[in-house]
This record gives sequence, C-alpha cells and structure tokens, in this order.
Amino acid sequence: MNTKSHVQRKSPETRLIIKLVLFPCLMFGFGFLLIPLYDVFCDITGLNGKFDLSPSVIDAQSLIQSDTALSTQQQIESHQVILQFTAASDQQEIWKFQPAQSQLEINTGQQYKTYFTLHNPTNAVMEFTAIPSISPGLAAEFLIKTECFCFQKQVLQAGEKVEMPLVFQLRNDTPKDYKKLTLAYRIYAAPYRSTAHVR
Amino acid sequence: MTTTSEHSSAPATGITRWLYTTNHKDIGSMYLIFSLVMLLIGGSMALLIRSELFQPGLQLMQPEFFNQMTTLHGVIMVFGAIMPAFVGMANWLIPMMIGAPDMALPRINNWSFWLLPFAFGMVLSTLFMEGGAPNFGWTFYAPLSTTYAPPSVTFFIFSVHIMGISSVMGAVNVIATIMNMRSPGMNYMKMPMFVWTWLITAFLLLAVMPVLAGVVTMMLMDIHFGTSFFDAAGGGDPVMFQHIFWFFGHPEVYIMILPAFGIVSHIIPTFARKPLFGYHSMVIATSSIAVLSFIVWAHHMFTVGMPLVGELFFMYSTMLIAVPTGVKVFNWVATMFRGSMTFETPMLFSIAFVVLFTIGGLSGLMLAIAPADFQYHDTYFVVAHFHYVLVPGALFSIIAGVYFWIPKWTGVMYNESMGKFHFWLSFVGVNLTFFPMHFIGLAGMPRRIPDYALQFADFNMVASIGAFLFGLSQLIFVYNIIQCMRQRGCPASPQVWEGAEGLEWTVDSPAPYHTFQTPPNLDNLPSPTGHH
Repeated sequence: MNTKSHVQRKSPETRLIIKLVLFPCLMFGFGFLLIPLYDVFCDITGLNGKFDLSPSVIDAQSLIQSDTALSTQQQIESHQVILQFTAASDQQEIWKFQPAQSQLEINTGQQYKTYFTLHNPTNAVMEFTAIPSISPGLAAEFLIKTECFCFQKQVLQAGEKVEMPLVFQLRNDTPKDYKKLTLAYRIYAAPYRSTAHVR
Repeated sequence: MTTTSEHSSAPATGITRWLYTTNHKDIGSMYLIFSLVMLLIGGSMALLIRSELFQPGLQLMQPEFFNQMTTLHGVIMVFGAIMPAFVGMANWLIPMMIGAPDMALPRINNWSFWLLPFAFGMVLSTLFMEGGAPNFGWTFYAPLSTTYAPPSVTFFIFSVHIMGISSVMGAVNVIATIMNMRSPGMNYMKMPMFVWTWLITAFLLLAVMPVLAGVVTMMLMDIHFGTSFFDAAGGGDPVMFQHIFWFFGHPEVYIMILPAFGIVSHIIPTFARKPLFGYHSMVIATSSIAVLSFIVWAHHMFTVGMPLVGELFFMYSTMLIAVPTGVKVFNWVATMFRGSMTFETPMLFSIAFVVLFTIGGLSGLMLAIAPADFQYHDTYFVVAHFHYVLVPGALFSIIAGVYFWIPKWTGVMYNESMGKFHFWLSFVGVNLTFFPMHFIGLAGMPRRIPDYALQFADFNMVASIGAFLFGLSQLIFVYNIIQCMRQRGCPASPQVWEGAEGLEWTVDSPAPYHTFQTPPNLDNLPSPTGHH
C-alpha cells in the first residue's frame, strides 16, 4: 500500500507553506543576528570610529611592527600631535567627570599617562561604564591604549572620588594630516549590582 | 458565464457572516473598509497637526500631544491605511485574476484580518492612557522609545507584533495562492502585473516584517527585562537601532509602492486601449527594485556619523534604484503614447500618480546625495518627499484602483462627475499641501515641531489650507463608495470598461460570491504582454 508513503510525503503545497512559515521565523532570528554581525563588520572594517574596549592583541602586534620598522629603517619619524580630552556624562552636574589635562602635545611613538577624575557624591554605590570615541573617527586605529578605565566598569563607593589612569601612545605611522585629535569619553552611571557581569 | 455552480452557497447572514467568513471577497471588502476607516482617523490626526501649524506659536495643543499626533498619524497611515488597503485588493483581485476559486489558506485569511482591529484598537487606546500615547515618531528611535518613552510604549510594541503577524500571514497566503492556484495555462510570464507586484511584495513582507518584530522585541527587553540592546550604559548601541529599523524600513517603503505600480499597470493600458508597454521589463524592474531595497537602508541615516565608504556605498546603491523605477515610468508613458486615451476617474488618478510619484522620486534622488542630505536631513523637505510618494503615490493608486474595480465589486457604476470632482480637488489639495513643504524644508524648517520660526509662516498656512481641501474632498470619495455599496447607480456590464482585459472582467458584475470553481479557459484571453 502506498498510503504510508502518502502520509510521510507531504504534498508540494504543504511543503511550500512550511517553507513560507519557516522563512519569517528565520528572519526573526536574523534580526537578532544583525547585532553581532554589525559588531563584527565594524571590527573588520574599522568603521564606526569605535575602538576596542580591551587592549587588543592586533594593536600590540602592529605596534611592535611599527617599532621594528622605526628602529631598523628609521623611515617613519616621530612627529607632534595635539591630543584633546573631553569628558561628558548624562548628568554632568552630579558626576564631576573631568580630564586632568584638557590637552597634551604629544610625540608619536612615545607612551603617555594621564588621568580622568570622577566623583560619586551620592549615597549609593554606583558603577560607571565609559564609552570612548575618537575624532576624526579613522584615527582610532592609530591610538593604542595600554591601560584605560574604559576597559572595565568602574565601581565607586558613596562619596568616593577617584583618579582613573589612561596610558596610551599614538603610532608613528599616524598620518601627518591628523594635527589635532579629540579623545572623548562619555560615562553612563547605573546603581551597582554585584551580580552584574563585566563585559 | 463560468461562475454558476451547483454547490455555490449564498453568504451567511448577520454578523457571523463577517466574523466567520473565509470568502476572499468578504475578507477583501473588510480589509478595504477597515483601511478606509483608518485613513479617515489618520487623516483627522494630520488635520490636527496642520491646524496647529497653520500659524506659528502654540494655539491648539501642547507639544506633547502634537508629538503623539505625528507618531500615531504615521503608524496608522503606514500599517493601518496603506498596507491593509493593498491586502484587501489582493484578496479581492488575485484569485479572480489568476482564475482561482479563493485564496489558498482561507481560515488564515480570516484570522489575519481580524487581528488588525485589535492591533489598532490597542494603538488608539494608548491615547487615553496615563502618560499619553507614544510620542517618539513612527520610526520610534531608541532610546527615545525605550528609556524616555511613556508607559504606553509596551502596548505600542504588542500592537506592532500583532500587525506583523497579520502581515506575515497575509503574505504567506498570497504566495501560496499565486504559486499553487493559477489556472492551467497561466504561467508566470502571463500573470497580470498586479499579481506579479504582489508576489514580490509578499516576499518582501516575509523578509522584513519579522525583523521589525525583532527590533520591537529588543525594545521590550530593554524596557522590561534589563537588557541593553540600545543602551550605551550597558554596552549597547543606539545607532544599532536605526540600522535594524531601517533594514526593515526601506523594504517597507517598497511594500507600500510595488502594489501601486501593479494597479496603475492595469489602469493605464485599459484607458489607453493598448497593451502594457514592456511587460517583461516591468517584471524585471519590479524584481530589481525589491532586491536593491535590501542594500540601501542607511541612506535614512547619513548623518549618524558613518565613514565615507559607507556614505558612498549607500549613496550609489540608492541612486541605482532610480534606474528600474525610471524604466517603469518610461513604460507607463510609452503605454499612453499614441493610445486612444479617455480620462475617466481611475485614469485621472493614475496619470496624476505617474507625474506626482515621479516628483517624489526625484526629490528622493536629491536626498540620496549624501553631502546634500546633511542639509535636508530631518527637515520638511523629507516630509515633502515621502508624502509625495505615499499620498499621490500609494494612496492615489489605491483610490484609482477602487474607482476602477468598484463596479466589479458592487455591480454598480460610481458617479463619474463626482469622481472627477473628487480627483481635481484632491489633485489641487495634495499639491497645495505638500509642494510648499519642499521650500520650507530647503529653507531649514525641521520636522516634528509644533511651532516654527516666523519666516516659514506663509508656506505653512498654504500647506494647512491645502490639507483641509485634500482631507475634506475625501468625503466625496466616501460618499461615492457608500452609494455604490447601497447599489445606487447604473448597473455595470461584466467588462465594465471598454478596454479592460483580464479574467476578472469575464465574470458578472457584481462578481458572484464564488467565482472560478472550475478553472477558466485562457485561450480567448489576450496575454498581458500584448502577444496573442
């Protein structure tokens, strides 16, 4: 009897409907998949003016490469760049978030250290996420940060005031068109949750 | 006639006929009436907006309420008026055009309609909630629509979910019908253009409505479940919202215009008494527009700080869309060229469609130029552009289609002189409303503001007068429809229009409750390509 095969093999119409229903379900998932795809795309292409929130291995390697290039061939010379710092938050009048120096004249290829100060005047323990951005955006790949308060969330006790270090250098191969760069940090405050995971 | 059949059952009576119906004609009528009601509600909101903007200063309403009006106007017109009207026409016409007895999934059809009144009931109920209705614009950019939204945003999110489910079910139904139920001999390249454009639209719907559902789900999770999809504090990205939204939003634009292309591709050949010029190129152009629509979304967000490569990519890909669109406009004009044209109401609206949609397309091309867009972004120029493609574009095609097919639906001719009067008032009104917006936009008037600088006063007054002219003249349309539904008018012949060709014109007027229960014979039917 072929009734069994009839039961098992669905008609072409039914198969079409199943496909038509599955497709939107997949597209629903694709909507969520767009988020990691977007990040990966920006990572690969360096778009979006974002730079890594962690000391990147690739950056360290390219640093070594540019250093070797410098020491062996002396092709790329150090040059001066003005680096400005700005700090902002949603409620600047509450969290006094400021750079220690508003700008630095720096030589490329040299390491510098500066501070940002942050004060938590409230009675609650707060955690802060700092989001960096550099302009012009395409300069992001030349800035190497070896230590930054933006690498992890900063937890401040009630009334605490901290100086948060930033150790960085600008690569020697930074194009000379970039005479003045702005490094901006914006902090986002949230009540401290001990269970909160650190990204 | 092919339509009489021994087991043709008369429609049930009373309210249950409409609640339980699985008949494509009943459901099509319900969709069309629903969208007309939504058009009037959304239109009243537009008139409130235009009243406030009649003069500078705040006269009638507070800015909060103004923002609620712009938001609801957009949501209702896009999801409540234009889209359901096209679905209603698809229901009425696709089975009749391909010679099928009904839609492939009649119960799903009933369900997808009956979800809509609930979705829009929920949207409208937010007006009476504490904190007011959603006030963040129909594009609901996060975090304005998450962190800073009124509590009613949750209802907004759920209603978008319901609308999405309804649209997806409608699209599944359309595709299943077209692929499985064409009468023997009707291959894809013999399908009428309306069927073609709807097939492509349905695929667009399947692809992007779930993405919209996804993005509102992310908003829901950000608001209630502590995630940070769009919250920078938690590692999210607000620009990300715009990318996902416009990944849905741009194909959505074509969802609202492709069926319009189909409708005028029926009307213009009928009244020019010539076959459609370039049927094959129409099909190819429609498909290319649909494919291109997926790679242009970021032209809505040129000013978010994209790198130059991105700006260039989205600029050129957007300008590329003008090519297939130009092919279509050329074909409509070529169809009219040396035709024996007459100017009945559907033809008037269709010709206005071709002219005014092209104006909207050209201002779209101006907006596509990234460096210029920085000046135009978020100004009334954008408002002028998308209203030109949506009102004299999509809406005019719907009105044209209603005048064209209503004799088939009701069996009665509409009042032609009132139809022409309706056309001329609408034509003048629409241009009076939206053309000055180009000027005030270029002069720098921003969108979505209840008050404005004095130098924009004159043009705003003109636009408001035009809006009332346009809005009120739609009452003639409503009157004409009601008269047809009440069977007041001359009886229509099966063919209705002298030049009309296609299967739907071979059945009686009004179309019997059940048509094509046996597949029709296509031998005597001219093919839409014009070759017999």
